[in-house]
Amino acid sequence: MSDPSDRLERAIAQLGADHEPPPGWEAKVLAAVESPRAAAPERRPWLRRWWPAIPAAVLAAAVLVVVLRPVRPEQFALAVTPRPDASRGAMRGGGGLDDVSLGGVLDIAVQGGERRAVWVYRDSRKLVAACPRDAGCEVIDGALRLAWKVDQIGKYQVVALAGSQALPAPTGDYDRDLSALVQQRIEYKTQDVTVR
Amino acid sequence: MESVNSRSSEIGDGELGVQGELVNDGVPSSDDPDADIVQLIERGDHTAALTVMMKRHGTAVYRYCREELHDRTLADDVHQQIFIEAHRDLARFAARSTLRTWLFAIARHRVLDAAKSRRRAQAHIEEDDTADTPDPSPPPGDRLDEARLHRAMIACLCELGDHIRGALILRYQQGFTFEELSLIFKEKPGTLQARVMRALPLLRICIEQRTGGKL
Repeated sequence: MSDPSDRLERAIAQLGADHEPPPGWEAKVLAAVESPRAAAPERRPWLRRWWPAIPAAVLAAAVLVVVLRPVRPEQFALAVTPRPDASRGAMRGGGGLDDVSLGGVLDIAVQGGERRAVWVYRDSRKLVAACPRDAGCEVIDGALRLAWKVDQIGKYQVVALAGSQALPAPTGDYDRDLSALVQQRIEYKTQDVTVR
Repeated sequence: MESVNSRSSEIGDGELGVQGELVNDGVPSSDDPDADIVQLIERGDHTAALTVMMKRHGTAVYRYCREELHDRTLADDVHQQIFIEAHRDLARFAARSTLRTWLFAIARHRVLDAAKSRRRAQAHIEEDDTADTPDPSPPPGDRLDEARLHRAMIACLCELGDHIRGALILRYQQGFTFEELSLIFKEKPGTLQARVMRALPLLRICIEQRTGGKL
């Protein structure tokens, strides 16, 4: 039987031993520390001299944006739509993405960007689908689409990425893949889905 | 006193001089396990330093946040904020303490700020609300099992003040020496040591009263 004081100290040491940071937290921190740097305007002397011209320049830019808007490429967007398993009836609950039933299908669509990709991970650990690599990926109406049947309970992370340059291949490690996207400044969107 | 992890046993508690004066003052030594991160900082590669720092200390800082705040959502936010702030201040890291001590000093401040904001908003939602769960009474005099001890421990730590709880968690969960704690709390090591030593019997009494069992 151990000394009560030792036991007490050991019990404090064990507090939180089963707590792990949420998946993807490192990528979020990296994104947060990178974004202000990219967005921060640099102070330049010429800005002081030319500030009266700024309203006119802004107006001209706005006109250009309006004029050029129809010919710009489509905006980057990720849509994940659950489709219930026809043999088992509708999905549970209100049909939100947090409550997709086993056997259903996730219709994943990514728009925008010259190059696009979709990666699907289970429990932030295992890569279970990747487009355009896998069979079942197709481009319809300019959108990269994947109809992916969920055959296992778990928490899934859908990651869509887009860019004009070549996109990286996933390693299969969610944190590492997201960190790589942040470091390479590749635009991405994520959507979590819980399959029950 | 038994050390709680290999790190604390390597560093030891140091020796206290008169009035808690430091002999071993917790400054980085040549065998500092974070020397590689410090080198990255000195080279100005702050993103790489942050990446290694997150890999090495992310889980420990997270566990500290969870035990201090007992609110997973809040702990998730504070945890990320700590590393964002650490990255922002890397250029000011002057190696007056080890990097780990410096990081936990940031963590301590952010945790205290978050706890204060939560109190102000009167929106304390105890997600891990074992603290408020009444413990089923065991036969009197029975030795506590680990699960009941854990539940009572959380509840009793919550009853202690912020400073006492913080010192206990950082000392025994994170294995900081009193010298390192003095850099985090900006108090003398002797004061902290006395505080922790006074708190342990109180914690034991609280646990035994709450559970009716013996430690």
